Amino acid sequence: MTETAKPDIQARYRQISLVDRIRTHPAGPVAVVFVVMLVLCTLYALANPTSFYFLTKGNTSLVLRAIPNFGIVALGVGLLMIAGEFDLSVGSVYVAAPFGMAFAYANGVPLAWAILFAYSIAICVGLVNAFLTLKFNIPSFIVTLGMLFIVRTSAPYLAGHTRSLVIKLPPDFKAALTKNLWGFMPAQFLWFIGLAIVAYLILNRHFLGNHFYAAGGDKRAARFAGINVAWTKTIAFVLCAMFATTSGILQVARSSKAETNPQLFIELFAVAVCVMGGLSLFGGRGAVIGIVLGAAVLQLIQDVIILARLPGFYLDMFVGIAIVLGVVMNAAVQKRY
Amino acid sequence: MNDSQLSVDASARASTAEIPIFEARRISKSYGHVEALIDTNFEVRRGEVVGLLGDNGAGKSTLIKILSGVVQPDSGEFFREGRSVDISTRKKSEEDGGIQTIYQDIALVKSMSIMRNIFAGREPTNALGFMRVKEMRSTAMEILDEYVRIAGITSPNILVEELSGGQAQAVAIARAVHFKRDILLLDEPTSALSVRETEKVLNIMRELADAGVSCVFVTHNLYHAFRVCDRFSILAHGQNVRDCKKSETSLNELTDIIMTH
Amino acid sequence: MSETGANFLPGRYKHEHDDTVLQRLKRYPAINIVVIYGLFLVGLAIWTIASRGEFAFFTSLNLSVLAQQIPITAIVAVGVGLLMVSGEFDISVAATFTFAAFIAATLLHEMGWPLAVAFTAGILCGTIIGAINAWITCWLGIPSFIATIGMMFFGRGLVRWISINPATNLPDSAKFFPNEGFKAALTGQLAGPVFAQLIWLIAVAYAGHLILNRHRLGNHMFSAGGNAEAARGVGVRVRRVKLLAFMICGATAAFSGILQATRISEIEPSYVVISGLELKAIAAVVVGGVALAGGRGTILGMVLGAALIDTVDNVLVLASAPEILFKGFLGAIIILAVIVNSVLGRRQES
Repeated sequence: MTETAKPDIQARYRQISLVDRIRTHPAGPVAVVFVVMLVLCTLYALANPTSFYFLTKGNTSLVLRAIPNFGIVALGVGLLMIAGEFDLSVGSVYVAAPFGMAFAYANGVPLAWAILFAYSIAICVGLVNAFLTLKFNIPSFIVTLGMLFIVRTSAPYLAGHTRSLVIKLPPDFKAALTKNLWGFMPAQFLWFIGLAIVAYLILNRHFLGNHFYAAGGDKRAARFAGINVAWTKTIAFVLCAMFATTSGILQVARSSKAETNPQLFIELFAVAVCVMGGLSLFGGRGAVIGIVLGAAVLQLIQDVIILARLPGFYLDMFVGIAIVLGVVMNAAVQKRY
Repeated sequence: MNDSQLSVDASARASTAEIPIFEARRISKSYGHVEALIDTNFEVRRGEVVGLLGDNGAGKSTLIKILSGVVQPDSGEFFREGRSVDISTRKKSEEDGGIQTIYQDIALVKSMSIMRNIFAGREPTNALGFMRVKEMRSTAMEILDEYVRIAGITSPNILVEELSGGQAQAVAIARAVHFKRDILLLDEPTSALSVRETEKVLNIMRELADAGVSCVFVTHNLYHAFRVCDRFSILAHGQNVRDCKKSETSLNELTDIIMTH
Repeated sequence: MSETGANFLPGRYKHEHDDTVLQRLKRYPAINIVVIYGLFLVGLAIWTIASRGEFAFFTSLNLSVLAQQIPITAIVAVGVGLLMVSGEFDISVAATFTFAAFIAATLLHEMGWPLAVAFTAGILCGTIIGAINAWITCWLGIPSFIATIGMMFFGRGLVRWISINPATNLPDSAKFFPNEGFKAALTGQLAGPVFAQLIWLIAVAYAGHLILNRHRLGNHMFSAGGNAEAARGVGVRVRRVKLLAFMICGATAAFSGILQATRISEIEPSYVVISGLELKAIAAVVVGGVALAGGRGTILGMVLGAALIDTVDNVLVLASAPEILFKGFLGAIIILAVIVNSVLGRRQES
């Protein structure tokens, strides 16, 4: 039996068929929703080109510029969610770390060092989140809810109550991050795709990804397989904060203004995106493509509401329903097996 | 394959081995006033299946925890092939003691694929930490093919939760064997399985023992133990009450010993 | 006292009555918050004396502001606390609070319904929102903090929908002018810094105490929150218990919202976002010693927790600290309280 030639084994163990892979893929439902929405919007826009400006360059550019905003935050939140923890503090890391960068830059620190400063803020917040959550064995959503408000408060407080800070970034830097290519493709979106690929590589090609899935899927089993769960989750917390910082820096580069505006709720949008994208609330399940599609669906809805001149409260209601429906759908997909 | 023929071979080999590959001597452990183990001895020889038997509260689970490095004994010594070893942590138990413990419900991460599970914590990576996915895939298939050969596993990419209890158990065993442990410590591996799956897991244990990997089979089920074990070590109230070869005893005698203590 | 106790109950229960007052106090579950709040007030008194009256905390004006504010938070905290004892969260209370007040105001002034009906409808609204939360959490099996985040968004949408001013097409605040009798009954000044809210708070707290400690439901809440499996094993209908807890939580939030609207004769749509009420309630409850995972907590702890939170807010305002500092403080106090609770809880178990 041990003599079996290798090619034989290869032949015996096939890849699961494409249909089965899509059917069992955690991002299956959101992919269907995305495709259906895109087709419907396109058809409706073709039928009503004068009233529904979905297919214009301007609108495409608008949508593609808005997706990375919470999409990149969601990538980090998703990585952490797969590792079995939540991070609500991204909402203020997104604000505070780029604010730190702008503050340093405005005070004459070279840009590279200012960016490094932003990421070191992120790493610190991630480490504190991880320490409090893992050391005291407290639910991460409570710890990071607390951190959300602590970080949000300290940024303007430490900077002398400034509400916003206008900075003049080098044009090259600004263009590299936010230039609008060919009239409809903002550079942010390319960064988003690039970061999504990074997240994919971490999850599927790096040993860390394997540890994330294991730590989130079954803490005890992971520990018995020799994985240092606390260390793994700490890395996930730090990565999550760094993704949020990246998104915040893109936003600052776009508007040349760092704000301490506390009412964005980007952390909740990120959770909504992840849940819609098929990530399990309990960890251990999910795929990057789900996060990307979830972000796209959320922004499509927002766009439709704006284009169709529907009242704004529909968006709030939709997000609320989408969170609940997303979780229900995920549970249904998992129960099939 | 002829089962009875093989087990004769195995017991012949076991009897010729002078030094046990693993030995625990005079282990004591108490929790407060409760003495869980009192001067307990336990040994494993190469290529045998040892049944660790006893009623609830006999000290079985304490002994398992000590052997797998989760709990420290108050006193006692451990020897691997005659040399003293320290098994005070999970890692030391696995690497220095050569013991791989397979707990029934936490052996594998259910939401991960077989391949990811097999390499969890031991991923082959390049210098940057990226996994060699192709190598993992082919190794996973070899592992599945070599040790398990359980029908129904068609791809190493299947999630463990889609496997039956017996299949999952078999994958956990295959993983342990592949990573070169001398001794598999199986804690109640059959208690949640169907009759047919139990049969398969028992066969796997037998085959592994014949291939030179010793198994410690911890169970409540004396029928299962009697079917597969070469030797029995029975605990009661934290002490050794009987240690005997299969040829020296019978199912009825084992039942009596456990019932009367 | 211990002697007579020993004479009365010799034997088995002797030790219970032999404990000193101090030992018994130490065992009292809300003792931490009582001590913390007491020390805090003592600190404020010292501050007042040290500043020779510059620090205007113990003035009748300030105390009456506090006495009007604390019951609003505390009533919500009692509902959230009962729910947390049952093992669930509610992050949608600010939405419930605002929406219920809007419903009452809209029905009263725009629809011309009688006050009693409008008031009842407002409370009912909160109860229904609670029931929906319970359904999503217990019947669809979604963790309550996620389910109620969903409800928070949905509630925000509802508030924006009901508060849209047709003239400007933007959310607008609503006036709430119930008749004088109603206003006096809900928020009238009784004597000095004592307002009717305080009586309502005492009523709600006492009702909560009766539910938690004198009623079967309370026992079921503790068991559902402490160990749902075990509770189910002994025949507690966990889902129904949690449904009731969610409904109580929704009703208290709605009642508190109407109290607030009555007090200031107006309700703002932005309150749902800026008040941070859900955060204040959770902070109050965990500071009051309610275990985050459920199964442990006292009404006195919840009320004093809310009092502490509002007092700190008040002190920050008096010290003219930037308003944003308060939320940072809330975040810190939640983490700190949860750590302390979990450490204390672990010590009690071992």
